[in-house]
Amino acid sequence: MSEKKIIEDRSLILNRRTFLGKSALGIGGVALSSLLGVNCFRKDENGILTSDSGAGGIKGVLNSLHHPAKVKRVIYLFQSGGPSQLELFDYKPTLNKRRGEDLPESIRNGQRLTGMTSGQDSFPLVGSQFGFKQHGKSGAWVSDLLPHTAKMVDDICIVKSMYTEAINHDPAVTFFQTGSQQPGRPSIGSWLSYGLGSENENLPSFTVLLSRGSGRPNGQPLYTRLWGNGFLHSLHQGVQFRAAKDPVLYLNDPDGTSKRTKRAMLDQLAALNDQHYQKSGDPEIQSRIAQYEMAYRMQTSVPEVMNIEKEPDYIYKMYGADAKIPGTFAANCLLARRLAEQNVRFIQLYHMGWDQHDNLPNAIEKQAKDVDQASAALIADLKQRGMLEDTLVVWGGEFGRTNYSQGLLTDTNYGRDHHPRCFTMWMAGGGIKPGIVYGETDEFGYNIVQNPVHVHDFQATMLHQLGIDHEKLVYKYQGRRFRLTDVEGHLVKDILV
Amino acid sequence: MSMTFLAIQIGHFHPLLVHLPIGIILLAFALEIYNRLRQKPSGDEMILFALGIAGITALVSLGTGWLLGEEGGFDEDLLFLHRWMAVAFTVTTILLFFLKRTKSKPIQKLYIPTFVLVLILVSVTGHYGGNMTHGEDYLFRNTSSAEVIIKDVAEAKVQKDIIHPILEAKCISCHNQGKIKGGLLMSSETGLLKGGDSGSLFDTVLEKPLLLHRMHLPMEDEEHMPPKGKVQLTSEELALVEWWVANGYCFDCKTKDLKTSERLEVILTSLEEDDSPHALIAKEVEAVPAAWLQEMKATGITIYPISDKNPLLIATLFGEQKQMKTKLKALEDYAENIVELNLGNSKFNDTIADLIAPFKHLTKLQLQNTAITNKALAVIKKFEFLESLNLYGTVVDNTVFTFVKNIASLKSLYLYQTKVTNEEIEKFQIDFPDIAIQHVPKDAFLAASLSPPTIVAKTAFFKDSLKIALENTFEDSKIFYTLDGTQPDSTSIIYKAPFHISASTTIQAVVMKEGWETSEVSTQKFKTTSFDYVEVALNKPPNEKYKAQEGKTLVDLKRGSKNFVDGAWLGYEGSHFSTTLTLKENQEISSISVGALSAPTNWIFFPVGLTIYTSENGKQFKRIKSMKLPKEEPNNDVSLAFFDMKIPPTKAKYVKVEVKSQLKNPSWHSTPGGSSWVFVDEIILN
Repeated sequence: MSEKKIIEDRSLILNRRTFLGKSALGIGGVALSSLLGVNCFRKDENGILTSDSGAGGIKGVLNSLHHPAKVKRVIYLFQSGGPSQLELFDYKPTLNKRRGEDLPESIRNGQRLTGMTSGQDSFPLVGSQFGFKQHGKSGAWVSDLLPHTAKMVDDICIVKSMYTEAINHDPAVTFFQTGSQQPGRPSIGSWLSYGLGSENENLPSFTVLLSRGSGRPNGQPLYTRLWGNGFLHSLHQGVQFRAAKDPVLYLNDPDGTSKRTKRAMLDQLAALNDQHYQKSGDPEIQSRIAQYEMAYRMQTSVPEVMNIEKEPDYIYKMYGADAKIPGTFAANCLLARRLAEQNVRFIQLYHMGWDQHDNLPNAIEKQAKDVDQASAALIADLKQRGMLEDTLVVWGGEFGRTNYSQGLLTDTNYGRDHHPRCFTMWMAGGGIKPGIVYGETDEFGYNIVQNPVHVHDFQATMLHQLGIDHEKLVYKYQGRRFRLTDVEGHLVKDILV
Repeated sequence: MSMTFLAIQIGHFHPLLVHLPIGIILLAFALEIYNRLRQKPSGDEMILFALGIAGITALVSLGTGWLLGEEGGFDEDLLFLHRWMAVAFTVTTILLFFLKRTKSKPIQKLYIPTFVLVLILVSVTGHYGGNMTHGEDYLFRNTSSAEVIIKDVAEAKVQKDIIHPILEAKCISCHNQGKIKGGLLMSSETGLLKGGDSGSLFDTVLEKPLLLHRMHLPMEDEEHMPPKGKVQLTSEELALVEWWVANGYCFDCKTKDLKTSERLEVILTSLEEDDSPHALIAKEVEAVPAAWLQEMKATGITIYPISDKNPLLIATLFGEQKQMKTKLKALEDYAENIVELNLGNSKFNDTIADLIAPFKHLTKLQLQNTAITNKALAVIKKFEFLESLNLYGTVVDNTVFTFVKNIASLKSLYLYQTKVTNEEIEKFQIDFPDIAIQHVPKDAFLAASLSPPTIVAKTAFFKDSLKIALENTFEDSKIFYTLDGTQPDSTSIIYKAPFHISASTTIQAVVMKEGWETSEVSTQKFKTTSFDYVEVALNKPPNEKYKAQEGKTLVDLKRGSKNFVDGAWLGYEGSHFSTTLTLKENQEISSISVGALSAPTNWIFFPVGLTIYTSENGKQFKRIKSMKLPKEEPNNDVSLAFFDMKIPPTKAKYVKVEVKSQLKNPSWHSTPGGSSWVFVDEIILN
C-alpha cells in the first residue's frame, strides 16, 4: 500500500465535513479558546479531533466509563532489566539449603534459556545472600534490602506469581508496555490517553521519566518507542521529561521571541497546516496542530511542575536526599507525585540497571537502595494526601531471574539470568487489596504453583481499575480491531477490594 | 417441501402486515366521527377508500397468518381463537366496506353497529395475537415483582432464583404456555423435565445434555438456541446453566448445597443485590439529561457519570471564590446525583460552604488545600453516605472530630498538614477504630542521610594552582572538608567559598544539616605536574574504536569519564599497554601515576602491573622499577583510579611506561577467559 493510498483511506475514515463544520470558527478559534482555558478538541470514535466545548484537556473516545473506576491515574514504577524476585520478595530458604546443587530437570522442565546460560554445563542453585523477615500485619516476607518498602507492606499487594512469555529485555518490556512482543502497538499510557483523554489541558496525559540505576549504570538501554503511540494518533504518545535545564526538549522560545510573536506564529502556522489538511486529509496534521498548542501551554506548566525546590525538608527526608538530584529515581518519584497532583493520567517511570547477570549481590544492594526509600515514600506521600484512594501505583520489571547462578558460583558471588516463568510485582492504591501476598511459587522459586498472573491479566486488571473493560477499548487498524490485551487477559479479581 | 418452505417464509410477514388493518380501521373510524361532527358528507369518499384498503390488508394478514399458524409451536387453543376471530374480522370488514358503499337507506342503518362489531373483533383478535407472541401474562405481568432479588446467594434457590430468571429472559418468550415452540415448555418444572419434540433436555447428545448442546452449537447452526437474532446467553449465564445441569438439575436445592468452582463463586456473588451506597443512591435519583452535563462542562466544570448508563456523577471544581459560587449553584439542579465532589486546591472557603449542603449524597468530598476552617464543617454532618473526607492542608483543628464522629459511613479521613494534633488523633482512634486517619507511620522515614557534596574543579591535574568549589543540593546545610587526607568532621574546615590549591592534594568533604544524618565522604585527588612533553608515542596502536587523541590523550590533563566511549580513553583488547614519553629536557623524575578504568560488565579491568624505563638518548632504555598491582575483587562497578609508583629519583629525557593488562577475564566474571581490556587516559610524571 502506497503512502498516498494510506492517507486516502484514512481521510475516508475521517469525516472532514464534520470536522470543518464543528470548528466553524477555524483553527484560530481553537487557539483562542484554548487560551481562555476551554478545550476545543474532541475525538470521534477513530480518535480524530473535533471540537468540543467541555472543560478539561483532550477528550478520550469513551463517552463514559464501562464501569465505575477505582482510580483516576496510574504511576507505573517500571524496574527495567528484570529485578531478582529471589533477593527481594520471594523468600526461598530451600535454595540456600541446596546451594550449589544442580537444578533438577523435573523443575526446569524444558524451559528455554537465553544465549547467556544455554552453554552452561550446570545450573547451580543459589539462594539469596540477603536476609528476609516478615513485616506488617500481613506478615509478608520482604528482603532486608528493602527496609522502607517493608514498612509499607500493609499498604501494598505483592503478586509473586507474575509470568511472561518473553525471555529477552526488549521483547519483554515491549510486551509489558504494549501487549505485544513485537514493536508497533501503542503503549499503555497511549491507550489511556486515547480512551480517557486528559484531565489537565496544560500537560500531556502520558508522561515518562527515566533514571539510571547504580546497580548496573551502563545497563540495558530503553527505546523511545516503548512510550510510543503505535498506530494511534501521535497525540497520544508519551512525553519524556528529562532531568535537565530543559525538561522537555525544544519547548522554550528562542531568545528574542515574545509571547505575542509566538502566538501569531502559531496561529499562522495552524492556518497553513489546516489548509494542507483540507487538501490531504492526513490526520497527523491535526495531531501536529494540537501538539503545537499543547507545547505552547506547556511552556508555563512544565517548569512549574518540575520545580521541586519549594518542596519542604520533611518531604526530602521521606524520599531521601537523592530526590534533590535531578534524574535520580527518588527525584522522579517526587515528580511523579507532583504530576499526579496535576491529574496527569499515566505517569511512567523507568529505572534501569536491574539486569544483574554477574556480581548480583553487590549490584542489587546498590540498586535496591536506589528505589527502596523513594518507592515507599511515594506510597506514604500519596496516602497522607488522600491520593492513594484514586491512584494506582505499580512496581515491577519485565521478568524475573533464575534460581541458579549464571557464571561461577563462589562463596560470596553469583549472577542470575533472565527468568520468565515467575517473578514478583507489587501494586498499591485504589481498589487493590492492601497488605496481601498473591500467588505462590514452588520451593525452588522456579515455577508458579498457585494463582498465576499473566502480563495480559495484569494489563486487564489495570484497565479495569480505571473503569475500562479491556475487551472494549479497541482501535481498528489494517482491518483488525486491536486492544492492549490482544485476545487474552483475565481480570485478577482476587486482588481487588 | 419447497412449498412448505415458501409458505413459512411468507407466513413470517404476518407480524408485520397484521398492524396495517388495525391501524387503517381505527383511522377510518376516526374519520367517520370527524365527518359526522363537522357534518361534511364530502369525506365519505375517503372513508370508503380507507375501508377498502383495510379489507384488502386484513385479507393479506389473514392469509399470511394462516400459513404461520401451520408452522406450529403455538398454543392450539389460542391459535384457534385468534385464527377464527381474524376470519370474522376480515369478513366483517369487507362487509362494512359494502355497507358504506350501498345507497339503500335501510341497509345503511346496519353500518354503525357493524363498525362497532369490527372494532370489537379487531381488539379481541389483536389481544389473542399478542398473547401468542408475548405470553399470556404479558399485559398484566408485574415486571418489578418478577425480578428476583438475592440477598445472600448461598441461601438462594438455584432453579427458582438463579436459573429460572435466565430462562425467563432468554428462552421463555418462545417456550411458554402460549407459544410452545418445538413442543418445549420451559416455564414450569414439569415442562422442563418433559422436554420437547427433540427429546429430554437432559439426555446426552454428542457428549452434552441436549439443553447445553443446543446452546453451544455455532451461531450459524439452525438448531442453535436461542435462535440467531435473539438475545443470547452471556458466558456467565451459560456457566450457571451448565453448573445447574451438571449438579443434577435440581429444583429445590440451594446454592450452598452444590459444588462450585472459583469462577462460579465470582459469578454467583455478582448476582447478589448490590447494597453499596452507590447502588442505593442510584435508585433514588433521576437520570441526568446529556444537555445539562454539556452545559456544566461549558461552564468549566469537570463532570462525568461514574460509568456508562449510571445516573451518579463525579465533579471537580476549580477557580476563584466567585467562580466557585457560580459553579456550585449551577450544579444544584442535580446535586443529589453527585457522589464525588472535588474542590481541592480551589478558592472554596467558609463563606460559600453552605453551597455544598444540597449535595446530600456525597460519598467522597475533597477539600484539601482550601481556606476552610472548622466553621465549614457544620454542613458535613448532614452527609449520611460520606465515606472519604479530605481536609489535608487546611487549618481545621481538633474540633473536627466533633463534626465527623456522627457520620456513621465515614471510612477515611485525611488530616495531614492540619492543626489537628497527633494526641487527639490517637484518642479519637480508640473510640472510632473504623475510621482510618491516614498518616505516615512515625518510624517509616527516620534515618535520612544527606547526599555527599560534589567537588568541582576544571581538571584533576594542574601546573600552578587550581580553583576548587564544593557543591551541595541542600539549603541550610554546612560542608566540612579536609586537605590532608583525614576524615572530615564538624571540627574540620567549614566551606564558605571556592578556594585554590597549589600542590597535590586529597580533598575529603561531608555535608551536615540539623535533623539529618551526615553524608558519606566525598574524596577526590588532585595532582600537580610540571612537565612539558615534546612527543608521546604509543608503542602499540590502540583499538580502532578507542584511540581518542592517541598519544596526546595521555598528557592533556583531562580525565576520562565513567563512560568508556567518551573519546578520552585509550583502549587495548587482550594486550598490554606501552608508551614512550619524550620530555622537553632532561628532568628528574620521582613518581609516576597512571589513570585507568574498570568496568567489568564491559570486560574492562584495572591494570595488574606497571613498569617504568628511562633513557637519556631515546635508544637504550634502563628498567627503573616494576610493580605488581592487586587483582580486582568481584564487582561490576564502573570506577576510575590512579595507580601511583614512587621511583628512585632519576634524570631522563625519555620515559617508557608499560601497563600490564590481565589479558583475560577473571574466573569470577560472567565470561571467564574472554579477552579483557585495559583502558588508560592519563600519565602523570613528577
